[in-house]
Amino acid sequence: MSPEPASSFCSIGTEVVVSCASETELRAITALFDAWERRFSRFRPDSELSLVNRSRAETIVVSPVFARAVRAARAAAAATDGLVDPTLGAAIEAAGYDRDFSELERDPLPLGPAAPGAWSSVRIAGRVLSRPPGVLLDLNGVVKSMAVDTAVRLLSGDGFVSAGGDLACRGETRVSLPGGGSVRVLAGGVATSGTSRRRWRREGVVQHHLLDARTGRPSRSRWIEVTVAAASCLQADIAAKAAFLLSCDGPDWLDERGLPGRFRSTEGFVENSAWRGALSTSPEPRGAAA
Amino acid sequence: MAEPQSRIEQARRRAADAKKTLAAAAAAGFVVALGLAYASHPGIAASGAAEQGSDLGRLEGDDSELDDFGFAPGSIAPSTGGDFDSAPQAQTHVS
Repeated sequence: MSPEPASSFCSIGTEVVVSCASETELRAITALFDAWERRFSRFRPDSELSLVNRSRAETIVVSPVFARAVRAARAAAAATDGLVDPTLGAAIEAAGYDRDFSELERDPLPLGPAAPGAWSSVRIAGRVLSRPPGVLLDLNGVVKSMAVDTAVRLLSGDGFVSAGGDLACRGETRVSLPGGGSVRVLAGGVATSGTSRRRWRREGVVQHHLLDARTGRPSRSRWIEVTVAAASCLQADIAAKAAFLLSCDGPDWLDERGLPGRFRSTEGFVENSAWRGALSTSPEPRGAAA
Repeated sequence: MAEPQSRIEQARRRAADAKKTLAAAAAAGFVVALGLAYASHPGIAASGAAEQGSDLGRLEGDDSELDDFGFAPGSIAPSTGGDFDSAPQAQTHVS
């Protein structure tokens, strides 16, 4: 069966686009996203995430997929010194993001109490998860990009999978970036995190989903969006969030890790050294990228 | 020819048999209860049919890559050049 050029469906609160997948591959990818949405949604009372957050037991056995996401979230928190924190479930609800984004409206209710992050209190050993009472997990910081990375492995040939700002590819892909401009992604993933889409109001104040784990409140970064290219979509996504939250220190933080990043503010675009270096080199021949 | 057992010996044997039966039943009950608790746990019960019934399990990848989260740069190049016409084109948004 010949592969379709591109197909799309809605899952995990965004549009998922799959390129060059056979019908069988597309079905498998759709099933994967749907399964992960059912498992990790904060808005489904029967999701595993909701069941874990409702459980009063300090220690609980979780599914292998859930354990893997927790492990990734913990590792991401450690790699970013706690900037990308999986324990901000209460904080995001306090900011008003307590239902599907499409249902959020201007909300006259006051902000809930601030709930700073506590990622180091979360432990995972095999499938045994422990966390202090009252800590609400929100694994969406890693789940979507992990799903994209997992889905792209289902493609038998070259192609890409994107979900919102997250993209992973097999083979060369031309990627148009939010805010204008484009790059060729030869391998790995690209992710853009920012506040230009997921914004709402509480007490007349604009809120967004990129929270400062120290305060438990939406961060006051100078950036609107940050785009990062990395070896995987998960890495790109984590790095983009961390760079966004670091505000002015974001470009250097990415450079220290060799990660190309493009930053958008109200004044225009800023590219870090790694981004400028990557785009000034001669184009590599197809297939040469690791 | 075996001597007939006394009533006391017969009673002891019946008591020993009853203890064995009780112990076996208790062990079996424990195993069944353990299995039911395992199967009804949220983490297990929430496993979707799509994941259980397909090969998605094998796609979970190597967990060791998650325990040691290292950043490695992606491979990007200017949008001009390369296999421009045949490469798929993606429009990304913002997460």
